[in-house]
Amino acid sequence: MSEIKLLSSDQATITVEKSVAERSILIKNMLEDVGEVTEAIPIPNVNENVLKKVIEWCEHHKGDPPAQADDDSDSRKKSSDIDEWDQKFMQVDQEMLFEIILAANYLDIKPLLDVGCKTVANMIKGKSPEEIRKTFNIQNDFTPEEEEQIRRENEWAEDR
Amino acid sequence: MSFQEEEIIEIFSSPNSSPVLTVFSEIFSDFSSLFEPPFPPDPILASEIPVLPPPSSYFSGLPLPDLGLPPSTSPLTTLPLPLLTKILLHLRPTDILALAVSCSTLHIQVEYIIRNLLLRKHDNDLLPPPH
Repeated sequence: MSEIKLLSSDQATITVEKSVAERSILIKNMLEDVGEVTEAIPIPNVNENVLKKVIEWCEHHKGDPPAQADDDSDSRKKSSDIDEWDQKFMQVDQEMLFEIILAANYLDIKPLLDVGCKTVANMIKGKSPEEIRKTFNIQNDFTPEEEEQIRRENEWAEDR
Repeated sequence: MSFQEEEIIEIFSSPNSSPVLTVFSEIFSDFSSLFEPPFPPDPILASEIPVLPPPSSYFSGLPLPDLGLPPSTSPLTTLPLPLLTKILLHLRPTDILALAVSCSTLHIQVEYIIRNLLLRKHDNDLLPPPH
């Protein structure tokens, strides 16, 4: 079982099984290009805490079939279509949740990115604008008139 | 009274048939005048053409989504647009609208994304079907 080292943005070195790290297409391609590496691979956009969390996900899913190419119709599947382990995995504070999404995007781990985006979508579903603001700590910078105008312009999208 | 074919030929070929031809000529002249340009513009109709209202201040002159956005502390509002797009793909229109109404930053971003998705769909619709 070969292992590689990853160097997080805050200079922490994390040793990980190569097959686990290769869930990241970025790392997989890098290893294919440079061959055997002894030095730690720098991951400059991801800090230690987030990197450890991402590796935890990769370890759990290391036996999964490789992700298919982008398919919008597939990604339109029900947002609730998240397996139980992933749902628990994503029960983190919002800062970590968005950091995981950004890391998954940077490291090119499509299934993890999908799970993250679905989790955020589930947090939005069925909520009013005010509830969305509370959930995501968003400041309302619209006047009531502006808000009403946007509603009028987009009435077609309202559920009847 | 009906004419036999021979009688019609005889009328039109006769030197004395000029009154009949004149009548026909006048009739056709009247019809053709109906199709002669130019048609005068109808000021009433022209004034009834609806004028679309100007777009709202947030929609007008939207060159890029990152211009003029107020600072925000929410990580949702600072997500790169491709990632926000992935989130929107899981939402129904009514949820997208609620998100767009939550603040001006998300409004601009959602508007931009939807425009791009529609344009891409339009472009795809114009492509020939894959073999």
